[in-house]
Amino acid sequence: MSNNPFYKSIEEIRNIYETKQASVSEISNTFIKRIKILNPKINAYLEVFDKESITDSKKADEYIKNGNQNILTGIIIGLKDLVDVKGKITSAGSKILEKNIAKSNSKITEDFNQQNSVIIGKTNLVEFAFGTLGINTNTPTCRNPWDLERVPGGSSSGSAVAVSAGLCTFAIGTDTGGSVRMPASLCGITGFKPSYGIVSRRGVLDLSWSMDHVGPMARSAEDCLEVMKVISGFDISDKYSQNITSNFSKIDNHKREEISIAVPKNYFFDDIDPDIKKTILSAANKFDDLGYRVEEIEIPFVEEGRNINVGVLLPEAISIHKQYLYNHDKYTRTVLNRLLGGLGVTADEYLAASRKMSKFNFEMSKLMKKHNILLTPTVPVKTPKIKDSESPNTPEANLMGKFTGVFNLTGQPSISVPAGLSKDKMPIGLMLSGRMLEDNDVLNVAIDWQKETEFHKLLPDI
Amino acid sequence: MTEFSSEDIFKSLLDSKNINLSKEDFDQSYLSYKNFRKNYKEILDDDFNHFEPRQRIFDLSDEQ
Repeated sequence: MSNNPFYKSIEEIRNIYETKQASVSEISNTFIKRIKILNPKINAYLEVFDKESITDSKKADEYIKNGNQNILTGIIIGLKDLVDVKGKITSAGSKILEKNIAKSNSKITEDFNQQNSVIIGKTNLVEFAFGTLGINTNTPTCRNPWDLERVPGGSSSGSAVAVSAGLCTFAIGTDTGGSVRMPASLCGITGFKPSYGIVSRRGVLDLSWSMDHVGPMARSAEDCLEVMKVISGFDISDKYSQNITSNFSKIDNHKREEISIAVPKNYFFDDIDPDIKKTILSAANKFDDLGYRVEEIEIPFVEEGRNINVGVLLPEAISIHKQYLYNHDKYTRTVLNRLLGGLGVTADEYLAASRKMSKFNFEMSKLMKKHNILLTPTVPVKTPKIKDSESPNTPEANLMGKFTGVFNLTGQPSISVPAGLSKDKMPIGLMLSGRMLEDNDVLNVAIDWQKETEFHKLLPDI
Repeated sequence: MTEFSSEDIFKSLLDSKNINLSKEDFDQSYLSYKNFRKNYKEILDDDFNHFEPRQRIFDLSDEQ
């Protein structure tokens, strides 16, 4: 491994500080220099906190010097520009909120401050986090580091690109229908959507209160686990927070033979790109070879998941956007056209979708009694070119969230990990989704996968 | 009684919010609207009234 810090894990960076190979100030300065060179090409960041990162780095160095190093002390972080940092603009990638200065920190910003981490900037995103491809005509075009002509995936596009291009050690994304996992898959990184309600959303702009999740995006599942140790937990000020204790720890004696991995034969492999199908089935075989109990199953009810996800999400989004719609000229056409599709939903219809969501979740809970993990592709389609992705209703835009949205509905923990490259050398993501609130198990299966494979170590030539 | 087309209803929803769209934007938004109406028709075609809305955690101790 090279001596630069750009692709080092959280543990490796911690070790650099502990052994005094470099200070936080030196590391953050190195990242800032790289951002200045690469960001104009890929537009991962909307704002870089150069001055604040110097102050934060000095503070972190002082803590380390005094022996107060914590899990994420001095770790370089990118935050999706949907997350409040006091005194900074939270634009949501929108012209409507371009002057929206946050009055206080989000809960996770507070968590990172307490750890003396270095928040290095705000990352690019789809306007109001409402889109799957990562296109936003309001902001400089965010580009996939694996091929600058292709989309990065959305809506946490900049967070995925920043991690993939080595412009931070990890980033934070939000996921309402797959917005952490889709860009993670397309950019060849690891993206984790935790169980619903175990990471506070206080100070993070809503898209849909029933489907929104906040999660880490990193080079590895092990790094995601480290971040979850810090950001998970009950927050009384977030009305959607679950009052439960989650335990996050690496399992040393992982008992593969006790873990049932189900591979659904229907829906998740219907009409998908052949390269993706081959790669994911090959991953399933690898899990089998490793000693996991791998079984093919049918999930008859799953076909309805996407419709229910959208059926709940869109009226909630319309309700949230009621305050902005008078300013409809300021929306990008793509997001406005998508949003307006949800006009005129009746209370009866919203209630029906909400009840059907429970029926779906009940069926999924029964299924998950028999299995620990569902193994599927993260997305069904190849990464499209930016020039072919400007209309709101392209096939790729409509299909991209077909698989991920199912787990926003159920609230199950779900992770996308790299599983190989396509013929055109673009990353392919494997999605592992576990039982509700068994986040640690999902992360540990993903950690085990990454112990046995090298796909997450592949880097774009940028 | 006058029958309103789906397009008329969508136009009136836009009017009620003072939203004026170009022809191209109208066509794209109307396409999203039509897809969404179809989506609800499918959702409503089921029996789920004994479920509470938006539930995610269940007691499955009696389930096989």
